[in-house]
Amino acid sequence: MGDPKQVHINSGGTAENTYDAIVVGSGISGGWAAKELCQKGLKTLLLERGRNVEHIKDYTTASMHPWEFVNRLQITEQDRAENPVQCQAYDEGSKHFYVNDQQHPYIQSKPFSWIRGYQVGGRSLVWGRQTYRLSDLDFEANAKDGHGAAWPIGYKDLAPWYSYVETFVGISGQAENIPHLPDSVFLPPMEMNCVEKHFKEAVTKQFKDRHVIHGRVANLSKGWNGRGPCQYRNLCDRGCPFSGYFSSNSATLPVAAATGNLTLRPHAIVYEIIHDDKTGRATGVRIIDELTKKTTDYFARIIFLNASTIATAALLLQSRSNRFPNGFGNSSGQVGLNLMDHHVGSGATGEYEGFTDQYYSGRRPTGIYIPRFRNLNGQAGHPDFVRGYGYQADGERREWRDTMLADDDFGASYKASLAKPGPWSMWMGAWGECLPNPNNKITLEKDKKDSWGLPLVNILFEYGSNELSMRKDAQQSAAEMLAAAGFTGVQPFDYHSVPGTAVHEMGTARMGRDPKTSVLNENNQLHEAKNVFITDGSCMPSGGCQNPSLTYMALTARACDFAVNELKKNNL
Amino acid sequence: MNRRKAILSLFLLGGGATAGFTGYKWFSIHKTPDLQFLDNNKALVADLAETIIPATSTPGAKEALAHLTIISLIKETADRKTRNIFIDGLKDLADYAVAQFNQPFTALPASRQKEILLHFREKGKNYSGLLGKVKNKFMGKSFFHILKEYTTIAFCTSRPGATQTLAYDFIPGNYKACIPMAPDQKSWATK
Repeated sequence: MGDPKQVHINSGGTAENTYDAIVVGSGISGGWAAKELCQKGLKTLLLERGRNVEHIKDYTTASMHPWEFVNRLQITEQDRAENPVQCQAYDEGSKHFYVNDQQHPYIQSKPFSWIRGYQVGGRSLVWGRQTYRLSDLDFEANAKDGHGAAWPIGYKDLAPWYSYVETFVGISGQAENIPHLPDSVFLPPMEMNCVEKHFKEAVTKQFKDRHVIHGRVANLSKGWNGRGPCQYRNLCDRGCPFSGYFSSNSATLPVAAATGNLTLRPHAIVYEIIHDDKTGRATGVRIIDELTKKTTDYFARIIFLNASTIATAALLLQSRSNRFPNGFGNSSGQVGLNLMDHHVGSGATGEYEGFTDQYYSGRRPTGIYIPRFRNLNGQAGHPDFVRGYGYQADGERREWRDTMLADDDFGASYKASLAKPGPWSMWMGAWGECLPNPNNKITLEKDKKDSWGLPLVNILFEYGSNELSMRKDAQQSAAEMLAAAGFTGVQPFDYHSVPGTAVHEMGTARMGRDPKTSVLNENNQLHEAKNVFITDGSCMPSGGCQNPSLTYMALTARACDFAVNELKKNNL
Repeated sequence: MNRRKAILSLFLLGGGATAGFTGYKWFSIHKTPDLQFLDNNKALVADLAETIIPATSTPGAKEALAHLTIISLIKETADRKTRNIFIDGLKDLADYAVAQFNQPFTALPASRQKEILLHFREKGKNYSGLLGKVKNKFMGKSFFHILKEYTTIAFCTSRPGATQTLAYDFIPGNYKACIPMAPDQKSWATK
């Protein structure tokens, strides 16, 4: 179809389509916005571009055994041909929670994997669930080393909101009192196995400033708020019939719905924010129905954009008017710039000869974590890079998938070796900070459109020398720690992962104090339209090296509280 | 260093002069695969799978119907190179059995079948280190290695393989990080 703006049909009267609040996107941050606003009494319309996914009922693969999958969970040639980006992230058990690359094309000026899940719950259904707070080491980084714009808030502003969301989410982990990785409100940790405990002891003894801690994960080590506990199946990305991990579907949306204030509208692709030039406020949004392609206007006093980093920036850029010729709230020209991810896929592996009489049972849905130890306050700076990385790691015994590659044996002796737990090994991979850089950006294509007539997103992103130097150090340091802990056959690795692989897109509508150089203020309000709030990854002025979803959740809860207070004061 | 190895070394140096020599081989792994051959030779694939993972005190590949899964996985999940190497390897092996022992592979006793597979394993031996990786990248894995890997995947994800040869616990309910190995401790089927 052509330009949807020209075939605009309002299916209902203004009053009928008017709510107190609109939330765009039902993923991890949109779910939080819906919950908070509904609980505070606002009639809230939650718009989701994809289909509905009802908790448990729509987890169609969750109870399937490996032998019940036609392709035994292997990626097919058809997947690789038709879905080259998404199939990097899914398997046969989770494919239905990812978009189809043919239906949802985008342009990669440089290789960038844009992994997406267009459905109610978004990517909260399939996220990695690692949850770590940022600290002032992260909030002060931009101001200190001059990359990107200074954060307008510090740790003390967000700390109570971290606690607030953690108390609801339920995060398994252990308090460690590490200044640059503040403790969360924790449920009991998921224990380390014997080789991990050995590694922790050796590293702690031999390296200053290096900690080995339990993975902090949004899986419930005990029943929590009527959910869980985790059953240790480690099949989270199929959706959990036990509500064992946090997702919008399992946690925030049911609470929002229970208030009676939530209206959920799936198949609603928001393509424009409506602006009233007289009041300088947004009045609502325009949607196009994914299936019927009919357009509808919805109106509200406040609007939360939680469409995910790249999609939120695209929505702003699409919403052009006389007031905003370069995109909604984009007089600064900053919308779409400073795209960040975390760089992943560098580290080391090693084998451990010992503990042959020890094993484990149950499948722990997390590993261990080695927090950042480079460029901490009080340390001499690393000569080759600023900022740092943390490692996710895990120790395990060799099982059949690796045993089959170990040698050329076959027959009864091979079968016996498949059945026997093999040697212990450890895998350590770095998650590293990517500097905010205005050259890494998203723009809209002028002529290329999707099936709904909306301009395609063009992503231009590449690692700079800081990221590449960090990856070298991450390989060396991992190998060094494994060797020091007595591992053998230590192999550094660099998978040369395509940017986007971490699925931690951030930036593109950054917060800041100065409207000339930032899009959002310290309360996640658009500088140029105070009743529009953005609390997904696009708001991040920098990314730290910690998995970011927890920070989006805390920022969302904080912004909702602010927004409702402002509404009460008639400031919005 | 033999000739084959010398030619592969040229790949490492970025040498393009090898194209003529390996052209036929390149064609043979990139042609349209003869998938029908798989359906017509289920018994051959079944016997080969059983040779890789035989019945012991627990069911083997044949009882686990691994051959049907192997054929399906080769068709659906393997890339063109792997499909061709596997199908060509099956044809070579069928011919070899008749040439050496005057009988089709499926009619031979298990000991002969093992002997034949040992021959193909020897043929498929790869170089160690970087050179081996380069060979796999350009020429694909050997027939023997493809057979072994697909048999293992098919078997270990089958109900008999996962639940009898390996230990399968669909809903563990709890996690024990360190437990002593039981005398006949089996390794986990899933992780």
